[in-house]
Amino acid sequence: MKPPVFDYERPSSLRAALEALSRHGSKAKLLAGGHSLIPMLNMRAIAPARLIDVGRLTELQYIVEEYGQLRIGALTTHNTILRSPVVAANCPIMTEAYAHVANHSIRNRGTFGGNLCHNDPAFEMPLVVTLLGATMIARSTRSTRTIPAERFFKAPFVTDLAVDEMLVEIRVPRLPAGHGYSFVEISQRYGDRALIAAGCLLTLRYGTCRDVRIGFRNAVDNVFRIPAAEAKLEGKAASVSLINEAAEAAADNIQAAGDLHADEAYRRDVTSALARRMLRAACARAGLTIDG
Amino acid sequence: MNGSMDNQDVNITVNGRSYKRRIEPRLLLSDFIRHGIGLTGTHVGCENGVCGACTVLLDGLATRSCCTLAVQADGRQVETVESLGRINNLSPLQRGFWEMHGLQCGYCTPGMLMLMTELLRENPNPDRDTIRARLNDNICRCTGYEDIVNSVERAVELMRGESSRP
Repeated sequence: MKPPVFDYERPSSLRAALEALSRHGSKAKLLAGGHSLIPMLNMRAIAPARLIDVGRLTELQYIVEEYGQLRIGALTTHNTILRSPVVAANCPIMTEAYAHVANHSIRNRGTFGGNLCHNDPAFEMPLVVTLLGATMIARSTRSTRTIPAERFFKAPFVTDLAVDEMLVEIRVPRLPAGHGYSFVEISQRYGDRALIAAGCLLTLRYGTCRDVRIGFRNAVDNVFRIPAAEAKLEGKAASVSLINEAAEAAADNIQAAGDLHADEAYRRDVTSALARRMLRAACARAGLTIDG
Repeated sequence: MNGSMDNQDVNITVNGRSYKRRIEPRLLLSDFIRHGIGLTGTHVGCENGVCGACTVLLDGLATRSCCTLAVQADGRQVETVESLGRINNLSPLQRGFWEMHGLQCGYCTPGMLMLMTELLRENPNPDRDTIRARLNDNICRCTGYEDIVNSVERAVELMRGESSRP
């Protein structure tokens, strides 16, 4: 359980890091916090010829609120975001979801951008930024590119980044004050990999649900939003029966996945249970208590 | 350590003492601590970030040393279990573990002690739920955790009486 041999460099600026990436491209991996990458090296799951250590680039560690959006530097650590009052005030679903991301020691070192680029299908943050409609800013020596979150996550462990591109910033639009949100998850142990992770956002306008976003991760496939579940509530007055219908639509439409930890039927059950739980919580937070 | 051209010069401060070494970039911080400088108090369990036995403090933050390259600690401060008390002069946290049977086989103990050292510096008076929530980081296969929680609560009492140092 030791990493294979690799070359190592620690560029002192983003510009130098992008130059290194353009030189070594597909043979190199960026090292941020390392808490996904180094276990994979230890298990010899990957063998990059070179690591480009960007973990000390403080220029990519920030949380800024401006022009109706949050700009978060890709190398901001999980615990920095979890403890940020600015994030809690503007983007409470992210704070709620962060309580499920690994554990405290890993959150001390792991970074937001590293987590998104790894795109493990059990990770929470790719779902959170997709629900929020965030924009990813990718840079290379050639260009700066903005990628909507829903196009960034291509497949489990695959993103839209080219080999010479680096994710540098995530821009999260601010949601209306008083919006409803919830993030819930079932895992074997608290903080462990999710079997099903689920999040939702909605706004209540004159008693009807607007801009309903419902999404899941099933730890196996690249699952995100489920439009069939969203459609059950969009433009309607939330009720117990509609929430149940949305939950059944989610369970029917989520990609079937079975693995060592949970079979397909169990995952569908959990999907429906989590959907009901989170939709009630989101409605309550938006000011509508659902009885029964 | 092979004499590859790409070996790196590092200067890592461990428990207040500076160590200058030329190392392979793939050397894990856990192996640097154990084999590079011979501090074997830090234990290596799973080597993939699950168990927490190898937890040390890196610039004051609890960190899995098996998921950290030694080069990532270059120029930084590492604290290991050897920085706590001595056998005849235990720190309050170690004394708590001793009095309340916070260990059986002892394999996870150095990681538990460092994890709780960080917690008690942040919050010298954590309640039981806070201690339990933080203990979620590390695995113990002997105690069932209850005695570890009791040990940390005992350390909090001892710190109130003696000194504020965990």
